[in-house]
Amino acid sequence: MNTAVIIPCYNEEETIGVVVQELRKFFSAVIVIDDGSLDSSAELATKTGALVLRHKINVGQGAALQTGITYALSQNFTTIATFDADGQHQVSDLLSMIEAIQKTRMDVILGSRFLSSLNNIPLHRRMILKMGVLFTNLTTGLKLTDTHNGLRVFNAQSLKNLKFCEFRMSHASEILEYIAIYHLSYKEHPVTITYASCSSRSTTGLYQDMIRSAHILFQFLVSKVIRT
Amino acid sequence: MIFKIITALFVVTLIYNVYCNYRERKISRILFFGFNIFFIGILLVTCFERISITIAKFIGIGRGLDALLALGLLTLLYLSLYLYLKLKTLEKQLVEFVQKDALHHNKR
Repeated sequence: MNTAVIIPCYNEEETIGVVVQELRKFFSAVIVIDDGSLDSSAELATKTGALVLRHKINVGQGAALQTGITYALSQNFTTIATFDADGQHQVSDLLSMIEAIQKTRMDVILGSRFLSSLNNIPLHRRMILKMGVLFTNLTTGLKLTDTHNGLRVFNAQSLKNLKFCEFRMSHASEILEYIAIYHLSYKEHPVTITYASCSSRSTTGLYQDMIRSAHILFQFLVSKVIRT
Repeated sequence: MIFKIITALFVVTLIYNVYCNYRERKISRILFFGFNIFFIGILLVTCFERISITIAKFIGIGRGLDALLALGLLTLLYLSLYLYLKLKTLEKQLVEFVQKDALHHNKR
C-alpha cells in the first residue's frame, strides 16, 4: 500500500531523529512538516531520511498537518497516516492500523489509548481527556473513546474535502467534526502511548493541562460560532 | 458630578491618544476623524446631560447614562468581533502563504 506518514514537528530535535529512523524502516514516504522550529529538528529529519517541508514561521499543528495532507494528495498516495514527532507513538501500532484499514476498508482508523490496557495515563490527564471525549461525542454524534490522539490512518480519498479553519491545537476536534459531517466510516484501534519519553511538553501538570484544554475548547467554540 | 469629570478626563485622554497615533502615522486620516467624532460625541453627551436624555428617550431607555453605557457596551462588543474577524482573516492569509511557500520550495 502506498502510504505517506505525516509528522508535524515544532522544536523536537530530541526525538525527531529516532522517530524518523524507526518509521523509515517500514515506510519510504516519511514527510516531516517543520513548523518554524528554532532548533535543528529539520536538519535531523532530513539526515535521517525524511522529506522535510518547512514552514518559515510557526503557524500551528493544524496548519502543518494541512500542508502535509495537501502534499500527500498531490503525490497520489492512497493512504495517509499522521504520527507525532515527540516519540509517544509506536511504529508497531501504526503498522497494525494500516493493516486494519486494508482489511476493513474503512475511511479512517483512529488510535485510542483507552482501548489498550498497556497505557499508564496520569489521572488528571485521563479526566481531562474523558471530558473531551464526552464533549466531542455529544457535539458530533460519534462514539469514540479517545478524541485527541495524533495517531490516525486515512484513506487518502476521504481527505480531499478537509480544510482546517483552526490552525492550532483544536484541529483534532475539527477532524472529528469532518468525519461526522461527511459520514466517513471509522474504527478505533488500541494504541500505546509512551508518557515517560523525552517529550517534556507532554508531561505537564494538572493546571497546565486544564488551561490548555480550556484554551483549545474556547478556540474551537468561538471558531464554530463565527463559522455558523 | 465626579463621574462626569472622570469620564470627561478619560475621553480627553483617548482623544489625545488618537492624535498621537495619527501624528505617528499609525492610523489613517479617516480613522482619526472617525474616532474623534465618536469621542467628542461622548464628551458632549457627558457634559450636557440633556443630549443623553434626548438620545435615551429616542432609543427607549429610561436614564441617559444607562443609554450611554448600553451604547458603549454595544460598540465595544462590535469592535471586539470586528477585530477578531480581522485577525482571523489575517491569520488565514498568513497560514496559506506559509503553506504555499513550503510546498513551492519542495517543488524546486
